Amino acid sequence: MKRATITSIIILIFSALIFAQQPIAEKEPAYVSAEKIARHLAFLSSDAMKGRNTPSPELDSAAVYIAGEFAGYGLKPAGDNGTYFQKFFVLHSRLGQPNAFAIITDSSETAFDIKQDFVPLHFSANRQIVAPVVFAGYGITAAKYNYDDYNGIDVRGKIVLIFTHEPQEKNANSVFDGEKLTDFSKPVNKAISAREHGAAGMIVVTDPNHRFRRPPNPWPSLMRISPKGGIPLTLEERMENKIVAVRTGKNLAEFLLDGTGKTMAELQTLIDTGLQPHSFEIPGKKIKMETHLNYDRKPTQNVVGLLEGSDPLLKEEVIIIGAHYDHLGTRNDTIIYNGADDNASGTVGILTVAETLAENNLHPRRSILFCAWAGEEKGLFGSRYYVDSAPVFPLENTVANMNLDMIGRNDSGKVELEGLYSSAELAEIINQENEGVGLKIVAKKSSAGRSDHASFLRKGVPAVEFFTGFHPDYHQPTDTAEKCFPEGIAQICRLVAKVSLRLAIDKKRPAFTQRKEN
Amino acid sequence: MNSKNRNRYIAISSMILLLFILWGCASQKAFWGSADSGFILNYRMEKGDILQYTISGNVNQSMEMMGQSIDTKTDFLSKYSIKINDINQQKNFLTTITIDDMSIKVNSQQGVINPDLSSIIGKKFGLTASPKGKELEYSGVDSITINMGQMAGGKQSVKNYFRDVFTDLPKKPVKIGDTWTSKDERTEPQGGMQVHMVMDAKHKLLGYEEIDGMACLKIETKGKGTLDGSGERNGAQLSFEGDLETKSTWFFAYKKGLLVKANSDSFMEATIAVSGPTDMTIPMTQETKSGLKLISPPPKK
Repeated sequence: MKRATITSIIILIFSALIFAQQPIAEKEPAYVSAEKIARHLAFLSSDAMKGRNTPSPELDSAAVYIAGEFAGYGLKPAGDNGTYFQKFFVLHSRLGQPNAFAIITDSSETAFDIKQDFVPLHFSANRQIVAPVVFAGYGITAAKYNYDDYNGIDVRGKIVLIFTHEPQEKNANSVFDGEKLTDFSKPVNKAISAREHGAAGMIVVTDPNHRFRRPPNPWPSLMRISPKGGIPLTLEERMENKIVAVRTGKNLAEFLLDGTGKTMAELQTLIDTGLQPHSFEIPGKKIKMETHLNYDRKPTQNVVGLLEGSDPLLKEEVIIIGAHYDHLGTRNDTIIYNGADDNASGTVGILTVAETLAENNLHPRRSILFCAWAGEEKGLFGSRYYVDSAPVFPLENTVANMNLDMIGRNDSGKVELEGLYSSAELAEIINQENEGVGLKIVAKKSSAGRSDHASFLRKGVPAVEFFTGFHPDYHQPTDTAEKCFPEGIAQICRLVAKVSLRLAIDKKRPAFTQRKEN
Repeated sequence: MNSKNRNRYIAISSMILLLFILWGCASQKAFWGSADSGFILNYRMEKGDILQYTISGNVNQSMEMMGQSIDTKTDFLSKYSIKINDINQQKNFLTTITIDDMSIKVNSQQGVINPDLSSIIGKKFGLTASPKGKELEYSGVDSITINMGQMAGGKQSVKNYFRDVFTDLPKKPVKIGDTWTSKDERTEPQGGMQVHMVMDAKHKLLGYEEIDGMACLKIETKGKGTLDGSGERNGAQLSFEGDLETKSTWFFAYKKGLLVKANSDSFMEATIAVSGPTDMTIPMTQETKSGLKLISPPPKK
């Protein structure tokens, strides 16, 4: 009896292994019709949606529509407070008054000019500070790389002067992920680190490896010809207790270092050569700096629905099928950018794949998360917010991301895939599953056309974008629904559904391959 | 699809700035002429002369978006011939320019743009220029276009690539060691914008140098300029401002009345603001190195 049981278990395991290696295409689900795809497309790209700008009431309406569809398919809400919505904020930022910068010595106070010498960073606090200044290398504390610019210095209540980017940026073998910039290089992360070390302010200067002599100007209001209504829209950084933060030009930084016997280039070489910090307090000088910014804070949201996995363990791992549902809005509130291909088509794609997988009772072992991203057109805001601040599943449990962006112009059975280099195993699965779909797959060699999958690639998650190519209607009011091909969208969705199921069933996860451009 | 925007603005900036490659190289408003009383510099080609030039170089451009750098390198090469068809009563040169070869390669983190320029190779257009190098009239150039592809601004007239075939020469005689200034101001359509450019240059006649067997005057030019523009592209309002510094060295065969060689370096810091439907401000820098050389002079007289 015992031997029989063991034999049964072995047979079961063996069967399971065989099943796991079979393409799911052998169990063909019922697919969503092209007519239904056309209806979704017509609604999302209708004039009533006014181009789905981020943020806008029309984008919110589109979000409600997507959430309603998710609910209809039986997807679990995976957003905030038991809803399908994952809310985040965007900021329209303007320069306020006053903004000032001066270097104070025992005998003098030298004022510097905004734009020519310094500009406030968009996350700077609104106040004036006067404090000594400490050169703190790149302003990075990175335990994982055994590197700490703050080691051995006290910056409490002081202003840190730091370089842009990160050590050994031009070194392919750098512990800081080779030549690819890590999250430690982000100015906002440097500000958070400075604040955590007790600094009152931060001055960022272009490191000598880069070309900016003056501070790069992010403020349209400082331009000689101010653009009409050109107010930068940014993703609100999660940052409490802001510090005063400015970007300065090289002249000002060299002025600060004058008398220390060191130059910026020498300091960078010292740090990069030994990967050791060379931080020090600059004697005899204080800085008085003041920034004032005005913010218009507006909410928007991703829409997230979960098809929970059936395996008690594997359901903690997830495949993410995503598409941005925003577009460009209108021009002067009269000319509508309908954005049918870009990216109502991809949004319809995730609805189609979700309905296919949810309503055929396929019970994938891993979970599959369907995400409609907001703010892609403004700078990948929705997917950035997800990976940086609010992943539904830990990113280390995220098996792969498939991003559907502009899949509406498939009239010849061709699809372009970007990101295949991120995982040879994922590329192999896509090719295998495509045998039953028959698309002509074109692997894009360059990384042109980066979209929301770039947020996942940045975090080391295998990610592939599905795309049917540029056309003269791209980012034009003429990108309308009748120019899309619902049958072509359906064909791409069949492939995405098959690959999703395969990823959700296979025991082995596709490995991520780093690439310099990621 | 947002990062297509990024590519687009890389492309816009490339297109804007390729103009300045030529401007920087050829429009340094340099000059040439005779000895103790000063050289009188004039173009002195004759009817039937054919001059062939190459211009090549590279542009290194950095943009900052969301705190991250985006670097782009553009390599360019062109070869063109100038045929002197006639000289009119005002002593102006009636010429035909033939595009003998041209290539542009834009290499960035977002990929490579390598437009197929084969369709313009061999194309010709007319240009009338004064003996002092003032370009008076173009004909047939507007119909010659470069297709940079959807992501790089689509079709562009080649006119901007051949704006400064002739350099402006000084109106007065100049001696070795003399310095003089010049101002160039123009408005050009670039990257969906009307860009207004002002360049103030200071020139110095350094001395003699022989280039390819021709006695040349060596002239150094240092310039500072501004660029401001606004316009619309793909539904987005664009504003552009830049500050440009250039340094060039020029060799003019004063006896033959020919520009023989020029090397130019320039540095620009600029900002592109994009508003509605896409709001973003993109600071950028650009370093350009270029060289122009006469490769096929007219028969010796």
